[in-house]
Amino acid sequence: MRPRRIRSALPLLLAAIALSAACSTAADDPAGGTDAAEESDTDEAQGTAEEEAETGEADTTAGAANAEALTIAIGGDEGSLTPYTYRTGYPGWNLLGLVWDTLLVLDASNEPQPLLASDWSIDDAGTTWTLTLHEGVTWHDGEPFTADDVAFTFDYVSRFTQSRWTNAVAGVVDVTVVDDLEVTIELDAPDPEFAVRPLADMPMLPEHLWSTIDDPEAAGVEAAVGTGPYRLTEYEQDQRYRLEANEDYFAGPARVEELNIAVFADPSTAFAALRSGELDMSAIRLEPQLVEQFEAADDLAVARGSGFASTLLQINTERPVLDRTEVRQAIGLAIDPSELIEVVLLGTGTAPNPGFVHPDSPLSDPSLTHTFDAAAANELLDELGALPGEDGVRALDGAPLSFELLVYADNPPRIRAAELIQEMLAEVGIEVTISPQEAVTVDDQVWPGFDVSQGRDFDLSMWGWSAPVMLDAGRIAALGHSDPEIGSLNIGGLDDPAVDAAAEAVQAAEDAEQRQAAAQELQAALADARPFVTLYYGDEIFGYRPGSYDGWVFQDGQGILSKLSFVEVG
Amino acid sequence: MTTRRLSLRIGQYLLVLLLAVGLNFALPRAMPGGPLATLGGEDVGLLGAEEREQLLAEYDLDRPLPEQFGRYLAGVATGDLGTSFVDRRPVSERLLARLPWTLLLVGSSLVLTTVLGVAVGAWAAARRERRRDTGTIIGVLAIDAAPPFWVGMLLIAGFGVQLGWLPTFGAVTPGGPGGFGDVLAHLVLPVATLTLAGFAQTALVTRSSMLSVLGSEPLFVARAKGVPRRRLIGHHALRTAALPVHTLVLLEMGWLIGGAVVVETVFSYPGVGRLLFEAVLARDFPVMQGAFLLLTVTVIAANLLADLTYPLLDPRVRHPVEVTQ
Amino acid sequence: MSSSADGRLRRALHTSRRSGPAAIVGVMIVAAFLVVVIAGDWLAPFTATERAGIPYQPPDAVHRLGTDDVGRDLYSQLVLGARTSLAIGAGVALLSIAVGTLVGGVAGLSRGAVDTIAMRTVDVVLSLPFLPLLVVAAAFLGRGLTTQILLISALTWARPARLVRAAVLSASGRGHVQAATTLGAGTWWLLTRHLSFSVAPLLVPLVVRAAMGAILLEASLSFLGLGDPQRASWGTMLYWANVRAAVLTDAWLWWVLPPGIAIATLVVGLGLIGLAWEERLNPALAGGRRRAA
Repeated sequence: MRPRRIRSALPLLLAAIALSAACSTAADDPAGGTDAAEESDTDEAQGTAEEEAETGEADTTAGAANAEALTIAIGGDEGSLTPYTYRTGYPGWNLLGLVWDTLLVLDASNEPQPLLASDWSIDDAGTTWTLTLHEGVTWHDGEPFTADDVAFTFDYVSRFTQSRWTNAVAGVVDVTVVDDLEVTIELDAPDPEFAVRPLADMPMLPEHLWSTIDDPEAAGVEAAVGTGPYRLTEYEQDQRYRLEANEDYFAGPARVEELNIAVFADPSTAFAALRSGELDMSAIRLEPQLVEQFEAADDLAVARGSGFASTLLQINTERPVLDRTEVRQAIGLAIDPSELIEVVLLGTGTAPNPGFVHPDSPLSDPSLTHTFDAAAANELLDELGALPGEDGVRALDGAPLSFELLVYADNPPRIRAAELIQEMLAEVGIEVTISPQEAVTVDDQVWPGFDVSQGRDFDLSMWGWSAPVMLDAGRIAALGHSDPEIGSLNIGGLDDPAVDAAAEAVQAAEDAEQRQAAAQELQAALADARPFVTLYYGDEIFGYRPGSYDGWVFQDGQGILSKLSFVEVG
Repeated sequence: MTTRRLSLRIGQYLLVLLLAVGLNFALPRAMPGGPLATLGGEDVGLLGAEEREQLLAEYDLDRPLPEQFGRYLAGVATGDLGTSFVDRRPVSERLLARLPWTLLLVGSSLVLTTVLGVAVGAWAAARRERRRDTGTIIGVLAIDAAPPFWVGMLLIAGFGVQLGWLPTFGAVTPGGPGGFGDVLAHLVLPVATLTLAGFAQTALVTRSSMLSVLGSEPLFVARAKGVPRRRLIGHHALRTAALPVHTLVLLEMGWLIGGAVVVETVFSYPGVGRLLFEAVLARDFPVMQGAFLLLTVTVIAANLLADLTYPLLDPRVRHPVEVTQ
Repeated sequence: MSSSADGRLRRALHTSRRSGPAAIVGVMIVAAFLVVVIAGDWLAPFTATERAGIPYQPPDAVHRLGTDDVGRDLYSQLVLGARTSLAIGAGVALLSIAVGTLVGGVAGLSRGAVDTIAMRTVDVVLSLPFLPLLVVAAAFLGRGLTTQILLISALTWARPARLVRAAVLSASGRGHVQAATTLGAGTWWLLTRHLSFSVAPLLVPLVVRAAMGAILLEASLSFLGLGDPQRASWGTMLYWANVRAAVLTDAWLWWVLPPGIAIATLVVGLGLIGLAWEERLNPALAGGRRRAA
């Protein structure tokens, strides 16, 4: 890490010199504009979108199938890119995956595939996993990767808490090194999702380096030694990273030799830089209203697919009036998600499943769809006895249906969605006051201490869960179970026997089929109990310059920034 | 300046520092929404209660407020500004990484603002003598009245996106060769924005003080004696106007450093003001306190400098005056 | 205008021939905005929160400045946004000048300990890094209009206090004030009866400058995302324009330009008034030759 030093106190040169310098350092213009326009037509909403490496362009340096260097925008610093210091699930985790490898990897359809583990098997009891490791894998510093590192990693993660993985390895009883390339893992109970989490999620740590690290959260870039397709060569905090391709990568060297990751404080600036050619790809999601413009431009393209991050209206089921299931059902009926998707997302979203799970996820129950029927909502409330007062606002047993809706002030689309919801609920006699606040202030009311057992203090809140929650049935069970130990994500305080039973069934499932069936039950139960109203899943949209590089692979629900876009894995 | 006065002055500024820092310390800790999200990372919801307690204890956040403040002050006295909640690195490291960029940005803007401001102000004053200068005044006021971030947005749209002449973000081109030219190129738009936002004040102050001088008794006499106009303006008036301008410049520096927050945001320029803002949003208390401390110290240093150098410019003044504007 | 009418207008506005046009322009601008504030509901074809059209519509006959990202009429937002800006400007100006005058006046008359404490407080407030403190406070104390007015005023009262104190100090040397003091007049009496007419004219430029600063600060705070995103104000319009990437589309012409121009125009108008008034107070500023006091 070599922070750049400024030669201070130099006399200022004339602006003309600065301008000429600017012209010479401006990004190269992409060649072959017309071809790029054809080839850059992106996939439609659902399904895998594999952007194949392009051919047929007789061109100069930056061919679309490979590239010497790319400049990519991210929205915030991600620390020293080590497993304990990265900040965000996206894009931090994705960048981590460029430098570090996991035992298995999720392919573009989110199925586990071999990576560091070339093969694996499970015994009949379902509690012992045997993994065979790939030969010839080395760490970035040249040391060989062996089963000792695997055992070390499992041990380390259970000793040093990392919220993403420590829980996932809680069920591991023992890790045995059979020889350099084979390891067995013993679980206390069968876990059908073990392959996904932690095997395809938790990066392997080098024992020879990390055995001396006692404070992983302060680890610097010298600890960023992984086995991944890129090595971290430069880091300037809050500004940029330089990743250089690992020539000895076991799956073959990356298609792009160098990645320059630039940190942007303001998304608008990133999009402007993409337009002007200073950036080759923006990992910051593109604003929907720029999609048309980018798709129309010759030198720009949009990679797009459905996203698994969800947006929902969370209800506090412990509040008076809101504790009535009928009221929650009515709220759901009064909301029209298709209008939200049209207006707020300009159509770049997927219609919601009231049972939470994205239709593209293997766990989803396709029969569950959102019903929008304001008339039915009115009827339901009338039948309940919540009749409108003089001002049009309904009241139940003297308590008015008048609620405060919290929303993160720094999330503009959500604020817009909140405004539309306010209008929709007004149509059925429910009054909503929107209260935009700092994210931490909202969190403190909805999920104080990030501990559901500490209670809650809100009426309604806009909320969102990130993509990984969608892939893990255990997490979905955590959304609704009334026992804080199991229902660690039950921020609405739901206490519903049907949901509890279904969640327990999910946890007790011993194989994938059982899990699937239990998950379907759970979704139906959640849809009936309505602790939240799923609103939409925003598409993952990314702008890029196909002339610079067009080998991006879209991973379902997640996006294009992953090792899948650079090496042949998964 | 007498030693007594000087020490009184310094004592006063230390009091200011203490109060400002104290305010900055107390506000976030008293308000809802602590740094647990920052400390625990994204998946903090999956941590057990014990682990959460542990996290808080690591940072002394479970201690009573006065004790926390005491520890903090003790740390500052020894140069330890604490460690960031976000990345566990020393706060001073973070500040030092950003400080050169802020100095570069603010320094360049200050120089340009002063030069441009004095030039325009002097020219306006000279014109005023002969005939009306309403147009100039309106022009200068209009530039000053335009919100800086709006000007920045327009400059990006125009020079960056439409024309593609200048880089629109950051201090250097990522992955680029860097170097002096690159740094300069990245400075152009942010400095232009800050200069446009700031020079009008200087211009107006220069104009006012020059006109005051030009209309005063000694100048009347000088003019009657036949001193050429150019000398009147260039020598007498400008020299006298130097006093309030000098004051303004030094005070501006303090303001610019903090006020550059908005410009730093628009251009993603890695300065201290923006660092403070990001730390506020992330509830990263140590970094927030460190950045705020740095900014306050700078403003105070500028004030002190203004007080100390005033007598140098105005030989009539033997004792430092409270710098009034 | 005929020369006699011109002269009468100028005398009415207490302007000199030289500073006249600037002041008149300033007054006209501010008056125009006041009209917009009062007649807003008639001038705006829609309310600020009505979703009256398709999102991102370019200007047409119905929506003279097009629509924003959820289909609200931008022209209406512009017109109704004037209220917020003027409210902030007026609110901060009045509050900070009131507090500043009080503190400065009392300090100037009291001398001794009261004076020292007051002026030290002024020094402290002036030494604080302005915008950073505002950012921190806004983030922690809330986004309401009243909160913002209070916050901004809490930082801007100090400069007027110092100036008022200086004016009071010089005015209290005058004969009638000394006489009143000898006769035992209290501080309040002195302030309101004897000093007000010599100090009051000073306040106009201070009020104007405070208003200008407040309007620009509200815009900056809103742009940073520290304002109330639901409030109809010019700063909020620019905030939404930025976060919804309007700057990168043609929409910058009708979404980004107008609010910025509105802010600039209002502030210029106020500035001209302030400037003209200062010239009146200090006639040397009005022209080359020395005039009789």
